[in-house]
Amino acid sequence: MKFIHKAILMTIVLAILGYNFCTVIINQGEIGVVLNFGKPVRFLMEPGLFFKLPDPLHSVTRIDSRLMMLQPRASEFLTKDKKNIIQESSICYKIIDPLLYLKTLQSPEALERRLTDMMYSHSGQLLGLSELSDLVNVDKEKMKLDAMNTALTKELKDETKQYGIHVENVFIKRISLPQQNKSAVYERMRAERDRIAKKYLAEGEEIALRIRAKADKESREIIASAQKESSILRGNAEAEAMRIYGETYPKNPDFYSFMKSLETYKTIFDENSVIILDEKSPILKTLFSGGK
Amino acid sequence: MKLTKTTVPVLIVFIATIGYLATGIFSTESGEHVLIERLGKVQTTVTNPGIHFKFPYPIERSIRAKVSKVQKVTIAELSGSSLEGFTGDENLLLLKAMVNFNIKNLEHYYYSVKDVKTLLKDVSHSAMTLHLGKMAVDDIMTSGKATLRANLKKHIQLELDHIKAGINIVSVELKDIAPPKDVSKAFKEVSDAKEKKQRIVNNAEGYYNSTLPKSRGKNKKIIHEAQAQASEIVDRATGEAQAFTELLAEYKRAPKIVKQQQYYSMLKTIKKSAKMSVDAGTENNTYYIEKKKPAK
Repeated sequence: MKFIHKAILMTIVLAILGYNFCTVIINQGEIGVVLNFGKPVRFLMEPGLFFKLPDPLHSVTRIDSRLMMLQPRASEFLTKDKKNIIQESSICYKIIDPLLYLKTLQSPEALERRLTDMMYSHSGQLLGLSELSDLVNVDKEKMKLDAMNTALTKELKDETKQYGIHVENVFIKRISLPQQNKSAVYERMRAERDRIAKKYLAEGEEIALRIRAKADKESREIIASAQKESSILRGNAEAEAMRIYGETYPKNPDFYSFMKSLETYKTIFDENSVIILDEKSPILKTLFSGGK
Repeated sequence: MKLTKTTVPVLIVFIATIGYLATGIFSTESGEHVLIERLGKVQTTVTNPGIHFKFPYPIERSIRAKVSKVQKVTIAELSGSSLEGFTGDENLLLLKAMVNFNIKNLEHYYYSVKDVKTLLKDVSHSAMTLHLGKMAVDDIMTSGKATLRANLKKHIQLELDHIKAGINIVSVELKDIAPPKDVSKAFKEVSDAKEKKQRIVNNAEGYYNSTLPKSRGKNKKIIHEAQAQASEIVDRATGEAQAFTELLAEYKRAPKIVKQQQYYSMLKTIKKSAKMSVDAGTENNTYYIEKKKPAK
């Protein structure tokens, strides 16, 4: 084998060995900690390729520098108006100063314990100053859950600085009541529903009554207008009749009044009438004349 | 070219190099993004579909994901049952939410948050508690649902953008909105009452709708009767006038006879109904002209 071939081969072997033992790639979203026999000597804050001494002089561990979620267990707190409230929150945080973090907390477990303790203590404080109506309220002015979330975030943000931790946000996920305190709420809800149900029924009756009254009124109006129209019709007819009679009468007033009285007699006598005729009455003259 | 001892290794190295570089060729589909990292650092995000080249491992690394694919997280209890939350008027209400999302920014999606789905769930749950706590129970159960959904979507998106989670919220669905079991009967009674109210009102409207046509019918009937009566009156007058005129002609020819005839005809008519008796003056005897009782 020629010298040049040996040289190429050696370069390749050295490159592979050097790459494996003397470099480290730090990915996005992580921080590399170069340890010299367990003691951190260098922090690789940016992603990229870094040179180091080979193991065991320099070993590298990685810390996740992305935002992480911590979900402390739901816990019970007492409000200002002496109500037990269950609150559950989660914390969104990340490690920004690995040196400080390793010096003060060392492990993720310790970090989570510390964050949980802080969360409970500040939640207890804030809830102790609030009433239930501050946490839930249809009036947006009085609803202070937003503000409470912000306050809690700020408190945790300030307090975690000393540990090299950045708290991005706190999310209050749940506001609830212990099981034994719910019955009072249920009772109140039932009473309220009852009231609403009664209100619906009363409203229905009222509307129905109005509609029926309107129907009756309009129907009376319709009938009244018919009666009015028929009175007019009859009146006009009577007038017409009068005119006709009036035209007829002057032809012979005497005979007309004679005929009119005969007509009237026909109508005024009925089966209840008894007519007593005098024997000298002209109509009986022939009856008593004996046919002479 | 003749193969010599020198050219063979060069050829091998050349082919190996080509083969090595060829591992850097990759293709993408539409809706797929690929993150290219060089030595751990994000270089670029390939967003357009087609054939692309990157440096081979270990220099560059690629992470691909279907960003347009809609994914879903459910906001509920661990058991899958609905969450119980406080409404603004201090009622307890059960509900579940489904948040549909896709990836907006692949780099942010991978490197901002360790467990982005947990973040999404917590942000959504928190938003739900917040917005539920601002609304009245009746509002949420009826017309306010759409508002709640819109508010949730807006709120969640805002929080996620603030954190740079690289997520786009497609929609928020609210499911199984219901009162707790202990009060469901009372809620049912309200909806029953609502229905009953509607029924009462409908009945009244039915009455209205049936009464008016009846009255209008009656109206027509009254008018028709009046019209009939009116023409009757006029007809009778006309008839009588005509009869009188004809009789008058008779009368002018023989006044006495006509008068007498008319008079007796009147008496006959009366006799059909009325009783008649004759008073015989001082002798005190009365003749009855009895009429047969009409057969009933």
